[in-house]
Amino acid sequence: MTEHGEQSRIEADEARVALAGARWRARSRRVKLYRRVLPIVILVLAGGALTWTVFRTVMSGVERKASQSQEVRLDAPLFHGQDAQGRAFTVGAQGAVRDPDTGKFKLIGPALKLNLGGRKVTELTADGGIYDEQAKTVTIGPNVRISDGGTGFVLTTPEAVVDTSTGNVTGSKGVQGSGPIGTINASSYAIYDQGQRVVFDGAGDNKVKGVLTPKGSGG
Amino acid sequence: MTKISKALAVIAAAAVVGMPALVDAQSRAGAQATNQPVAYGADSVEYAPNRIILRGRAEATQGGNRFRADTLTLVSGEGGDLQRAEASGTVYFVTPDQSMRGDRAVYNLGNGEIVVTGNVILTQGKNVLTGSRLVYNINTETARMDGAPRGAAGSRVQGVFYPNSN
Repeated sequence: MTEHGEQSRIEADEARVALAGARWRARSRRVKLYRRVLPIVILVLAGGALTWTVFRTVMSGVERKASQSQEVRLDAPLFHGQDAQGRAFTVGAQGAVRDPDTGKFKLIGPALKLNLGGRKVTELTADGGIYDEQAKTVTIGPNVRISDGGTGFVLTTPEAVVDTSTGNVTGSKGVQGSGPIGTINASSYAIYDQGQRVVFDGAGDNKVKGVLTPKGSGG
Repeated sequence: MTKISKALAVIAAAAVVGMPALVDAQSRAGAQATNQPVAYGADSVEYAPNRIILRGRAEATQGGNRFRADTLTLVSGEGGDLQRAEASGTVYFVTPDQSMRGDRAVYNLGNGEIVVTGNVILTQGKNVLTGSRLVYNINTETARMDGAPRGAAGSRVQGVFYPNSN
């Protein structure tokens, strides 16, 4: 009986030791597995984080560039401004498209008003034009029609360049019209001092020509 | 006395005494040429209040009269109507019958009178008259040529007339 009890205790101890050994080996295998897998996971996570950072940086640049390169279309825009002397002007149009590369506005059916607030407003209309805010110029044409309030001139010309900082209007592609010096035909023109002074120039052998009709002539 | 002999007598008197001479040209037509349209041309035309400045080969033509100069300034009155034309540089004023040349000229559209000064030469046909100051009325076609106010010998009114010429 005693021997039988001793034998049972020994078997129980062996079984417990075997179970403990099995548990230890299983844990050892897990540790070995973790030693291999975890560095890989760490590397993957670090690589992923780095990749994500780089990706976002690149993508944000692309998105920014993409957003900048998008055309901006405006319907019936009206730009307000002031020249160097504080005189207000407006640049209106039936439509406008901002060029993403240059930042200039391509105008459709532009209509400009200069010297706003003054008694004599100069108005210009055309089929198209370019508004360069940086250079402070508006170049319009073709079929430009200028109604100068300062002088009373009504001019038609293929192109007009308006300097929004000075309010001066110039053109060098020919001009015809009428005003206080009768009908006139010239190669180029310039309107200064809010229309108080207008200069017409010929080119080469083409002189400036005009006809004045004195009052009472019946002409 | 014919008009040429009359003019010769006046010029001769002016040359002798050094006083202004008076030349009467034929007073005809005179149909208010100053009311006709003015065609102008120049290399450059500047409009300023009450003033039109023609620069470079400036020329203004009214009826049969032509005004040519290096610089021609057309001056308007308050009503905007042309009052006078001022010319400088080599000035020419040509009518159907006469031609005037000088250094400066002022043409008054109100009375049709043009005053040419500085080395003035007046020609009518082959007849030539020189002096320092010429007053010519395009409506009445009368002219008066003066010598220099304190005339040196070269400033006297001088002329060459061809009898029976136009």
